[in-house]
Amino acid sequence: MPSPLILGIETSCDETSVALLERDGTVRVNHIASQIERHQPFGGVVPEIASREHLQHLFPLVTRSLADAGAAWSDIDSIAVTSGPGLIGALLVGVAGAQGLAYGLGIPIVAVNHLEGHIFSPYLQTDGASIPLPKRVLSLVISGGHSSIYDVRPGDGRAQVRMINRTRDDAIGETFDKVAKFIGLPYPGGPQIEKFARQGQADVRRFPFPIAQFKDESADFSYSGIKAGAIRLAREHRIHSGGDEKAMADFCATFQDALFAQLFDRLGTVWSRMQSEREAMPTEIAIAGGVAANGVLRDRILEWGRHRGVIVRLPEKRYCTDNAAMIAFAGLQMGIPADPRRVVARSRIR
Amino acid sequence: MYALAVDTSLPLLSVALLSDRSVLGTIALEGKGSRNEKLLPSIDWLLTESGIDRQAIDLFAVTRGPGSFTGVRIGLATIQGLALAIGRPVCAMSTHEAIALGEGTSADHPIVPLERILVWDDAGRGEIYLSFFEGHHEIVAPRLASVAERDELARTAALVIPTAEFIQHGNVAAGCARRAVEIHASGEAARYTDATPIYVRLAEAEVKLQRKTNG
Repeated sequence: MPSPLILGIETSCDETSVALLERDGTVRVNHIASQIERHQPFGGVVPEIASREHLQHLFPLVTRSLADAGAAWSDIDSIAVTSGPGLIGALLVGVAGAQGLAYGLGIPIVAVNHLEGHIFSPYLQTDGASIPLPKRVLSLVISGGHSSIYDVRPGDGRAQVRMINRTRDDAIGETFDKVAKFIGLPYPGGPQIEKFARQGQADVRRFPFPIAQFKDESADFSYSGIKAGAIRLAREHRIHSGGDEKAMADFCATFQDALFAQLFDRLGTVWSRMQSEREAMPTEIAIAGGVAANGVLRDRILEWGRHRGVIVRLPEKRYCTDNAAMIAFAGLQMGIPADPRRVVARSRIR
Repeated sequence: MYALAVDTSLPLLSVALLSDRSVLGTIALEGKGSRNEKLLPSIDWLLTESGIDRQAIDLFAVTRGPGSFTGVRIGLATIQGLALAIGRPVCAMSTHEAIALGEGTSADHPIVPLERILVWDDAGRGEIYLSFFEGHHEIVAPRLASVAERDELARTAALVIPTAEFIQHGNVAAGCARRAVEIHASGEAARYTDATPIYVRLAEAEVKLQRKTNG
């Protein structure tokens, strides 16, 4: 008897994605229809266009996913769908589609928080079952929309997720993108900055970036200062694509370092605060989201973990950006299958 | 033959269940801003109270707009999902067609006039969505018009139906279901498989971009 499958649906932003997973986390299919090109002329995601594209792609992707997995409808025993946070019109396409399917099949829906999708994504593998989850893991979700650290306690489909900090202004990925745009690099800016940074040398005397600290000793992130500083420094030093390549590379290296310096500063604060508590420390640290694809960060966090004797979990690059495999997987971790009639999409959660 | 139809394009969402051409039940509910939270509970209530199993539905019907962009997508996504899961066809038509031709007709007993019918809706920003029907067929698909143009065109029609008035006494989903049953009986089903929304308008950002590139 083959394992029952969970169908995952993700439409919270600008990628329509459908996946089929087995109960042990084996990803049978994970299809993504990206809309990046559709939004490029507008310099950012247009919510109405995203919603239109989702409806166009959703059901063809569902049908293709079943065919590619060699699965029948009767193999599916639940549906996990992103119910928020995200663009409300975009979310509603996935949620309504999932509701129709689940009600028609007579199976439950698991409404998944998009961030919980990212949190568990480092445990997914390309082949075979997922990596076993530890009792406690510290998770960093770093993407174009989020910069947060979570205290996660998985446990037999009833995981507990507590947000420790968040960004007070811009997200780290957003900062990469906005500064990249200013210096004339194409969207998405993160990979472009990384590419130039690899060819340069960080030079903090020439490019002095601040590390934001709050008077209340909060471990929250704040990236708007670095963004404003980067734009000012780029203007001063005439950093622009097509200009002085050496200066461009050094600028990118220094800017990227500044972003990650704040990340490790906060991570250190959170870690030492946890050490002063009486509970058992997390045995693993995981990073997730688009910025988790950055090679420099991946190396540095591995190093960070080695120093502290903590296992570091890095998501495979295919699971860094939005995808339905992580939504289905989070559905398995978070449990709570619900009546398909009562699923509500929310643009903001918590 | 059981047919289930929904309309979520207009301010009152509606659901109807038919057995051939007879109505078994209808629902109409104020749905602005919360269509998705009301649609599936409405469908379920209608089926449960009628004692019809969802698996027994032979035909799904749905309106494609024009109307609320988000509303149209909710109706289409829900019905396509349902139909796909149950393995039954979807008959998708314009909201105006469900209104104009949904009273049903036969050669012997024309209930709706075979002359020209104009259906119109307020499209916001001082504009109108309108379409024409004649001889029991759509002759002008939904398009934008000015108020003055509508008034002029209205003089050429035997019957003028504003959707805002229609929903106060008629059930759009019932019309959609009746029309779908008729379409399937007459062998025209292949023309009604396109389940993409009829937006009529581009997204606002596209309009702005066009203006910019056209100077």
